[in-house]
Amino acid sequence: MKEPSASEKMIEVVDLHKRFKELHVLRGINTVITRSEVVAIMGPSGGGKSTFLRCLNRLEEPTSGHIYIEGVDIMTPYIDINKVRTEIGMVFQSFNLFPHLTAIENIKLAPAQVRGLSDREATERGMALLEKVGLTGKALCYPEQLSGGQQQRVAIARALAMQPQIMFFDEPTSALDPEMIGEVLDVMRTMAQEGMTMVIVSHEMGFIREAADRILFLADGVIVEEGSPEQIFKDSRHPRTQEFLRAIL
Amino acid sequence: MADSAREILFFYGAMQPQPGPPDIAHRFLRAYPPWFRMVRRPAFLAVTLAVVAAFALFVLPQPGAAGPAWLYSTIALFLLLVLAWSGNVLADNDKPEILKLAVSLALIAVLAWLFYRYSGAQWGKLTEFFFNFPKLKGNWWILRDGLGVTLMLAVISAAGSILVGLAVAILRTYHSPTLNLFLKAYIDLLRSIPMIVLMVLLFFALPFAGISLGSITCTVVALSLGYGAYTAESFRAGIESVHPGQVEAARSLGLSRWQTLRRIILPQAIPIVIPPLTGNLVSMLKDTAVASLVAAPELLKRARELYTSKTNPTPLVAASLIYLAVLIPLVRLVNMLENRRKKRVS
Repeated sequence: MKEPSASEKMIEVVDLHKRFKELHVLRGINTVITRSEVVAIMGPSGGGKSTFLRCLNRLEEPTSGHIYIEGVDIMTPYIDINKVRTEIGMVFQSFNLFPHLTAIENIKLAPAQVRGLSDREATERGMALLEKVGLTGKALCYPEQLSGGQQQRVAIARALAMQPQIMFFDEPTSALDPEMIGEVLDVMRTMAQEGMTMVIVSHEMGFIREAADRILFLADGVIVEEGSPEQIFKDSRHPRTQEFLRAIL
Repeated sequence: MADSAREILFFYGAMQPQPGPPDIAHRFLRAYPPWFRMVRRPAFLAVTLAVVAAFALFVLPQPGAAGPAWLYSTIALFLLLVLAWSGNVLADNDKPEILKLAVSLALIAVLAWLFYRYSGAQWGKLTEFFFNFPKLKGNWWILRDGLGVTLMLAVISAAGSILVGLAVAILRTYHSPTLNLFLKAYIDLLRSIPMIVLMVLLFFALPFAGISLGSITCTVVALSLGYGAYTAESFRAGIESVHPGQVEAARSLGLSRWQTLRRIILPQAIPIVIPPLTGNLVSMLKDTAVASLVAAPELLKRARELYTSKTNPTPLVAASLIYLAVLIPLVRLVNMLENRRKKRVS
């Protein structure tokens, strides 16, 4: 693989470690994610996938190592992490919509509060995003009035409202009923086609095969193998990968 | 024959009309003996009620008009009759609830009347001392002013305790070990110290150090600090009940700590906290009475002044009736809020 140029590098991770007291979850992760790349992270549970993703925007504080987002080391002490996070949208397994706000208010909140958009601008942006995820009619619904798939689509719209450079997905379809997975994956597929840089923790094989540029296989806190979907699915080298794929395919 | 075949035949048989007495089941349902059905008829109840009334009017002796043996045995018999009659009504599931309520109230009235008439207490003296409301004539405004001061103390201290409590609860969300040490010390100390001790310390001890707070200020400070500790715990419980995923989602959008608290956590925590908070405030309203010890001119203090000047404790009774009139609706309100919250949760 040829070394990407500095301007193409979106995220660079150097020797990332994370310990929870006795537990050494991430044991030195190194990788580069380039602009518009769609990276899927796979691996057995407890392998550190979610922790890795959450370390990348410091929702989880890494123990040591360096993370460069667009060339800026976000581990330097006096960095404004809120500023960094505005460039990284995050979608959670359990949606985490704000239950006291309607769908449109969920989406408007951060652009209005953080970016300082006027209420009208924020509403317009929010409605455009709701249209994009196919939920224009649900703008005034509260989260509890929406199905799981609809909630997750609102959550994606909420993250996109900050117009981030990068999107993180932490098992976005794991909490959904099977018939709702498709609608969420459709939205993600569109985003990938539009050139969004995406990091996705997921086990949706079909989706990964078709949308991902690269798979990182994470086990025991290290990247044991990485490569394109064909390479990993058809012809994985590492025994951990083979064992995992045999179990889920 | 195979078991399954036998079973099928059994069920087939069971579905057929049964031979034998036509309503064997009904005989069990109607198994009350005839006398039992009789005593529950309205006619029987009316007649027996007349008997009980006649007993009360003609048989029960005047107190002191008969020897104790005759007196006590007739009273006991009367009690037995009354209890049997009302028990007969109250135990009947077919009687309407409104009738049962009426019978219960009548029963209480009859028992009270018996006690009033035969206990030998000197009711006149009691009335003269404790329920001598004519003596209060022209002095009600004093109690009214006292109530005004009580309510003012309660409202200011409520605002104070909510501010203190909210501030402490917010500071606790920083999870700073050093800060938490002091906050916990404050909460533990103020929750263990009796309100009366706190007030007396502030009012009588501080002047020796050269700090004289007025009695009103003293009360407000003591109540705000004391109930602030309880309020802080309520707020903390509310804040902790908000799912941690909410904070993560907010922070991942780039919201600051403060924005997350103000826009995400508090709007979800406050509805949860309102019922216990209202409960705290009701207790606080009651505790304003302690301020009478530090000479704040609130309701109890004014009532005690009247008690001294009139040499009659009726003002105290009047004051307690006023407390009841204010507090019972508030207690009901707390109950209602609590029920509404429970309904929303389920």
